[in-house]
Amino acid sequence: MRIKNVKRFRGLACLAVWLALVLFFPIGVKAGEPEDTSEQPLPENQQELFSQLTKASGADRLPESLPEEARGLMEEAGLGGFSLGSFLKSPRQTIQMAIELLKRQAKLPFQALGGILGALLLCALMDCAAETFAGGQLRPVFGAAVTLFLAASAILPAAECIKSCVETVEDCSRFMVIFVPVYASVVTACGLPAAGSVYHLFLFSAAQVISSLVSGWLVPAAGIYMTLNIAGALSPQLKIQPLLEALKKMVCWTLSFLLAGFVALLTMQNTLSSNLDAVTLKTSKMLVSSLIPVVGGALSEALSAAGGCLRVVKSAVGIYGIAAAACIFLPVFFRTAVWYAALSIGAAAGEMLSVKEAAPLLKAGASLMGILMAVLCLYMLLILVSTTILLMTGMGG
Amino acid sequence: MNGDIAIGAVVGIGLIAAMMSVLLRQYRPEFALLTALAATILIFTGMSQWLIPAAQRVRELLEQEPELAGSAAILLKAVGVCFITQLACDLCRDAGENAIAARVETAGKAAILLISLPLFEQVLELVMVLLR
Amino acid sequence: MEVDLIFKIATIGIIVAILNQLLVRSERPEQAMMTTLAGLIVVLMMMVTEISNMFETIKTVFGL
Repeated sequence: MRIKNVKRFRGLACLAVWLALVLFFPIGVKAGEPEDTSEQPLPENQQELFSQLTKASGADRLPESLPEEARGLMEEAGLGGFSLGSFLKSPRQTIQMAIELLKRQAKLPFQALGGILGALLLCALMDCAAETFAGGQLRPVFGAAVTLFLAASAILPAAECIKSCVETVEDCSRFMVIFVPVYASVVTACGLPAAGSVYHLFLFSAAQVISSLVSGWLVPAAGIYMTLNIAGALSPQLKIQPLLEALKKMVCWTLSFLLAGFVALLTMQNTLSSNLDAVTLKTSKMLVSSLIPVVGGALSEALSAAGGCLRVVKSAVGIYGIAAAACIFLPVFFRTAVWYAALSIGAAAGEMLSVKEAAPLLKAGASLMGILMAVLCLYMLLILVSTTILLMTGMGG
Repeated sequence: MNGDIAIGAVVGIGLIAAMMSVLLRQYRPEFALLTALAATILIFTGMSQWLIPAAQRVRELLEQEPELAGSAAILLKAVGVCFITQLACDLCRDAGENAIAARVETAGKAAILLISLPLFEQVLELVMVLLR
Repeated sequence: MEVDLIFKIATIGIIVAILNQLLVRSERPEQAMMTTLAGLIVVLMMMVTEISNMFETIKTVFGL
């Protein structure tokens, strides 16, 4: 009698284990050999396991979804493929790469700065000639010509930067569409289902909001801002300055609110999901070890060991995602930052040479660049912070 | 550059010409005007030694932005028009002909506006691109 | 720089002025006027080359 009971109990136990696996590990876990796992690069046969897991989660399709420039940058950084050893790059090389990128982007803006300075010099020369009694009449007309030149110098970068900002946001959204499900599934397979689904939901909605914001609202507003600035510079009687400053303040406030809202949402949801996941993990471990009498303990250990191997994949995918996001954003960010610097220097030079038409126009161009940088930063920070949080959780347990 | 030597010569010429002009104004005012004109021409010709390289450098600076290269020429032309209009205006005023001076000035303003018309069209085009 | 031009013009001006006064005093106003005109023409002819030089320079410097 006792033997039959034990047999039936074994059957029930197996069923319970299977149920636990299905319920708490929605994506199939390849619980292979329980090997010793560590976060260092694994030897050969584990390299194969790594690539198997990568293919299963679909992470090897990630490099194709990147835009051209970002893919080139990733390959320069040695992260072109998706293998383990490539993630160990020295910080100095990374910084050198960043400086090279910065120099490449800085060429054009400083050429334009040269042009602006030349125009300002001419204007200052004419100012000297205007010291005579009759000179005052010709100076405003010449000032109008110089303002036109400066307006052309300031709009060109504005138009180009707005366009590349929008393109970058769209590229990043496309990358997110592929990256977020992959990462969420890997995270869920590691035993953090709530965190995975929260990450998925959060980043998708954030990407949606920011994309629609940028294309539907930021681009027209930026165009109108620059046009009104030029009109104001050409005819100072219009007194358009207060209106433009109000517009700029409005945009800045909206961005700050957006960022605060996203951060608050992220914090709340991560707290909730991490508690939920801790409970889930402990519950499943306890169930497995207590429902299966003999091998329960070993089985739960095996499960956590398998989770350890998956954790390597999770780190790899997470780091790849962060690096890819950085590579997508950095070129455009650097370009906008250098234009900001060039236009600010031009405005300062205009003030020093007391060319009074130059300063407001160039300063307006510079603040437009500043707003574009803020939008790019917002998006980049969102992706970085949420991915990093997920990277950090689940490092224990 | 002989800028520091030349400026001494310029100052000297200016002062001497002014004295001559004042002297001649009481007897033959037309000669006073001619003296002033001669002094202006001489000073400008002397300045052109160091004006030409300076204008070259400014033109190079202005033409660095590749798409606005044409505008650099326009700006320099505007400066030139400004300069000679100023010259003529001041000479006329010195001779006491305020009306002529004012007409010359108006013509100069019109010329500058006409010259900067392409620049204006370029800016309009860019604004259209921006607003689309 | 040819500073002599100014001195030449000034000299011609002074000479013309003196001659003018003399002729007017000797009651020959037409000849006085002729002298003035002659003086003006001489000075203008001296300056014409200089003026054309100046306009050439302006054309090269400013690209007009």
